Amino acid sequence: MSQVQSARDLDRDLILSADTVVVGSGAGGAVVATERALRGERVVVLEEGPSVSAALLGSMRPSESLRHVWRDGAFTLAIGVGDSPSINVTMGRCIGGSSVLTGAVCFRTPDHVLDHWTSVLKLRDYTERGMDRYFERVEKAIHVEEVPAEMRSRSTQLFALGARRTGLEMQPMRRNTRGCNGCGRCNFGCPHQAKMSVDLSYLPRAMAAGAEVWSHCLVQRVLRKGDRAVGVEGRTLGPDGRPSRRLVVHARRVVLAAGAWHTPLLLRSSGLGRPELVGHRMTLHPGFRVLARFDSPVQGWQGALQSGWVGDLEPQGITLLSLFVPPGVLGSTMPGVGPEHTSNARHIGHLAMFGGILHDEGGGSLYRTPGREPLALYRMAPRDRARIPTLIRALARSFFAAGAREVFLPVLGLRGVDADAFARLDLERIPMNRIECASQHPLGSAQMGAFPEHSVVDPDGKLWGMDSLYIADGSIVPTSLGVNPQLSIMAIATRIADRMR
Amino acid sequence: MVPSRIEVPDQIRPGVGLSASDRRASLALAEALFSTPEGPPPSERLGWLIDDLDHFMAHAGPRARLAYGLCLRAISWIAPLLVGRPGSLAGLDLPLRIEALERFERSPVALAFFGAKTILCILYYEHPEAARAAGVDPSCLRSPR
Repeated sequence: MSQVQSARDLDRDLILSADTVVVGSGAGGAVVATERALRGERVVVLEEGPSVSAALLGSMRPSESLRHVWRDGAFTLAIGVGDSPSINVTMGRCIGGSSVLTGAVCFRTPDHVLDHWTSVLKLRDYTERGMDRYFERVEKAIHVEEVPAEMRSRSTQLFALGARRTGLEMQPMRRNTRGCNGCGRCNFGCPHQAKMSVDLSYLPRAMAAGAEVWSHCLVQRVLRKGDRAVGVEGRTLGPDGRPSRRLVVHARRVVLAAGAWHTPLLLRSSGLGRPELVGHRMTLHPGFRVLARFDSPVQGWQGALQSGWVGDLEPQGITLLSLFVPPGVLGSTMPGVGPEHTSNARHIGHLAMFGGILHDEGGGSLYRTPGREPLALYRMAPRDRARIPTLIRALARSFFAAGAREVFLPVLGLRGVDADAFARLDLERIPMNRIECASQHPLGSAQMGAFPEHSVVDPDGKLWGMDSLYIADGSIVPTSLGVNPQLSIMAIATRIADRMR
Repeated sequence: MVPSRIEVPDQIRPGVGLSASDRRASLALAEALFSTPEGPPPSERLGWLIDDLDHFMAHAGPRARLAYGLCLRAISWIAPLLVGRPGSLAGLDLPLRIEALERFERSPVALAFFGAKTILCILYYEHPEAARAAGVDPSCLRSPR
């Protein structure tokens, strides 16, 4: 079978057996499934979401992608606790997972992060040299290439100009693309099959090697015999989206790759892992954007969606990243109601945009609810909170240095401010409940570590105290990275697949 | 031309969309939000917007519906109080509704307004006439079909 199979309309229970069953078809799961299938194993991949062809993805309006492919239509929130902003955490729910919806940004795990992992966390094999071959393999498989300067949008060009004038240097981004023409809608599914997401780069190879990939499969718990995982069970999702037929996969090895948002829930519902560790210490890379209005047209959606980044502020835990969003999302960030809003929205074509993320400490926790989705809380560390004004200032000052007329800050209800008003603004005094914050990088909710008392899985991704149960997704990443995590997740998953016994 | 709506062959059957009261509240909000000095947008465009919102909520799932519903209720109940007129948002005349929403947007519960405003804006500016009014011609973003 070389196509994704849908369990939606099955009129029977789905009972399968395999050498390896993989729960989740995103960046981690697809890699493990492919690597094991290429070794001749019988592999079954179970995905909760639908299969959406690249052609169909490309024909959708952005909001259609949100409603069909994003989890909960992107209405997913980590609620701020204490003096913390609430954070909109978005992720994919389809064959290919969030890899279908990324901006295709590929960073290797930064050296200073690997140094921390090896020297402080004692993950001794996670050196730059030790990880090099895994990164090389993944980069080849997903065709990582540098974005040429001529593909930069005018929005990014303007920021680069201003950044240089304020002493910051933009560097070219690397992305997993082939034949990208810079149409700027990566986050809603590439219409040209140019983004090498895992549904295009890995899963077809897995299926060609005999792996079965099933959509509409909701895994509810891990089956165990003593201290061995022997499969998974759950329900297929029927045409109405509700649990339908019984789903059982017997396997001698189980790999959880449902993402940092759901893997901890699966562990908890299976009574696995230490409760005080599973679902806690989650990092999010809280992200903030600044928009800037220029006198001349910008049309920021023309060009590569993400093409440059600034690493000069990493010592302060900040990475600046180019990005852009569709006009409708831009419109929503225009303050005001009625004539004020529509007047602001008339300048959408004159807006440039740049963003930044915090290399945060783990302040997120996930809790089970009666439904399928977790309750997520996030308590931002004081250190991270103090960095938000620094991040916003770096973005705004760069835009002003490039000639921006006014900037729109990520502060709910705040009108556009010119350079003078910005200089007078006391960013440190803005309440956190007025800060607009988003995340696409939930990580570390079932962390990897060298010691069972402090971590959920061992350095090879195996659950401590349990044979044949592995985790291979963002949940095991032991600290935040400060950069987009897709490539790191895939490289770690490759290493885990290589070392499975 | 009004944009058509895509259905995914492998998707689940859509669930329920907006309730009648949520449709009314959404319309009252959208009418105020997208008003220009000349008045609210054409009723056909608002009708398309609310139909598309209904389609969105039917497909996006129960949690999206719940989150949007909570945002909408917070706005509908609290915003009128901010202009000293207890009652429903839809019961306020347009200028007062706009003033109530402006005050809500600057209040400590602004996140609820942002949640509802975001999805309404994403949908509204996908309408070709609304996009044109905003000076947007994102040929690729508008999808190749």
